Amino acid sequence: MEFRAILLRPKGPLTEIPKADTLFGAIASAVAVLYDNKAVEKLVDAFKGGARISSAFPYFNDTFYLPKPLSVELVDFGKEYGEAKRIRRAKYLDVRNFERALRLEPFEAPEMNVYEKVSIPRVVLDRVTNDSALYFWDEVRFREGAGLYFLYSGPDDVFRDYIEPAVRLLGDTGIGGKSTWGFGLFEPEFSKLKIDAPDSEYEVTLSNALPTKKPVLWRIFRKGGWSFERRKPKMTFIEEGSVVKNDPGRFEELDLGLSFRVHIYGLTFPVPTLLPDMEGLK
Amino acid sequence: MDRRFYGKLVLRGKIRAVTGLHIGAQREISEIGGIDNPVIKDPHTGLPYIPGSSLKGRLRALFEVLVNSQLNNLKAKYPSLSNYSPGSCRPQNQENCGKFFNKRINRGWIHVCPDYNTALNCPVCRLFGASGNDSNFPSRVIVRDAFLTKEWQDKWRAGEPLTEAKIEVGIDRVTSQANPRTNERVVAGAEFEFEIIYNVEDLNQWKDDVKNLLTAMALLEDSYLGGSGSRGYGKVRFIFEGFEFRSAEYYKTGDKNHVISIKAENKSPGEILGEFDGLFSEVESKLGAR
Repeated sequence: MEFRAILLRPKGPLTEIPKADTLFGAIASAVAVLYDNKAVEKLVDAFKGGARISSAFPYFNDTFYLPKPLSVELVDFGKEYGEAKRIRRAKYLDVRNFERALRLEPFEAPEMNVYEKVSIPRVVLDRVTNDSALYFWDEVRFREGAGLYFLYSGPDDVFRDYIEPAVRLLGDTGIGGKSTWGFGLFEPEFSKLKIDAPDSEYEVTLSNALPTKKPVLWRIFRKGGWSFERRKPKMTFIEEGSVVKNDPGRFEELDLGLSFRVHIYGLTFPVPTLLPDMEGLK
Repeated sequence: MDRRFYGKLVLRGKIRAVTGLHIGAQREISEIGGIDNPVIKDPHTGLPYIPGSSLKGRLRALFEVLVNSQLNNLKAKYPSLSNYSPGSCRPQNQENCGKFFNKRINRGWIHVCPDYNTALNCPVCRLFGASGNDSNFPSRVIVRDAFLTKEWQDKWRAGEPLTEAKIEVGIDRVTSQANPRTNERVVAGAEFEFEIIYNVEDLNQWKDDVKNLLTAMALLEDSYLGGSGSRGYGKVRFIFEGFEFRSAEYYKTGDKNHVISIKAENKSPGEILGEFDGLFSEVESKLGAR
């Protein structure tokens, strides 16, 4: 399988690693700025018709990382204790090991040190007395040569007409919070990524998703946020790496009292994966 | 309420630390004989940098004080300023009491307009943004982290120190007992690359906004960045490289013909302000500004 890979070479820190729903929200906002709300509706329709984006994952030079499929957590590869622990704890695998994991073959977990989460002090100064008030802000910083990328799968014209212009604008606007401090700015680069996946009816999702039926293997998290000064209700997503069977996921349309409806992206980004032969699993 | 987008103006150049520069970091571990006040550094490279938040905050603070000083003269040009009288709400301890410095953030009082429409007609908030009580006004300015120039990174790789430990002494006025402390600061002469992005959202306001931004930069040159400025730290110079106007068409098509590059090599913010109309004539005709 070949996908378009959109590299975001960071020019500064990010508040967090954006997931697919954040990326889609940022892309839709950029499309609204460059064109209009009708273009956003067309974009949403294109995604309802089959286009997909993944969450953002790290890369370092030529190594691209993907989320570890949950299916491998059920397999005993018989490693030494330390190694087994590292594999169990790994969040990301490089593409080659990700492909092995899809086939339930023994794989290695990389020793990753491509980004670091740090807490940075900030100061507010009283304009008259210069009295200072200290507070802290968490940020994700990447090492040199490292950054983020996400995948796109779908029609070329949707990519050319919406994704590419939106990503160009977002590079100079920022993704995520505190963009006016330079957070989330990046230099975009458009490339491709091949993933060699087995034939299977089960699929691992590379995006956080809102499933339409019970997933096969899943890990959940709750996520809310803000949209145009309105708080979005917290929703339950399945994490990247979860396994589904024939589930496209769904958009959630919210009426937040704005002049338009807010679309929460919850589509799956499916890549076929094998499942261990265990009773009750299939 | 309305919001438009005509393009982005990217300001680029170098910040030179003319004197030692101290932008403090959190002290995580106290080592015996260690530095009391380290400067902020990138966790991966260990190289000092100027956070975008420090630079943006300082530009805003200086510009707020300037506007507060000229409040009565500016009321005709910026209608929202009629809502304020000079001074701080701090003595009343009540936000939006009618004074210019009207919002409390922890212990500090700063100026922030309470809603979108007031911010739109205020020179500070429409440039730097306002997180109001009723509605926000998004900042038109993005200030990126300023990292060391390649030349200074190479100097560091060649073994040249980028920071110095400066020992300062407090002396008891009666007993003359010395109380030394060490401050880390970036050495004088170090250069950082700055990038400030301005969003062109209003054809009638962009020139005024950019002039206000350049004014704030000029003010910073005669003030200080970071801590201990009254003791000589943090004198900086902005050395411009140039401007780039990236129109909405550029973002739609990726075609570089829709980008206007303006050279302003080695110019200071004051010089740019002096030559503003000449430098930005091409952007003005592209935008069709009134």
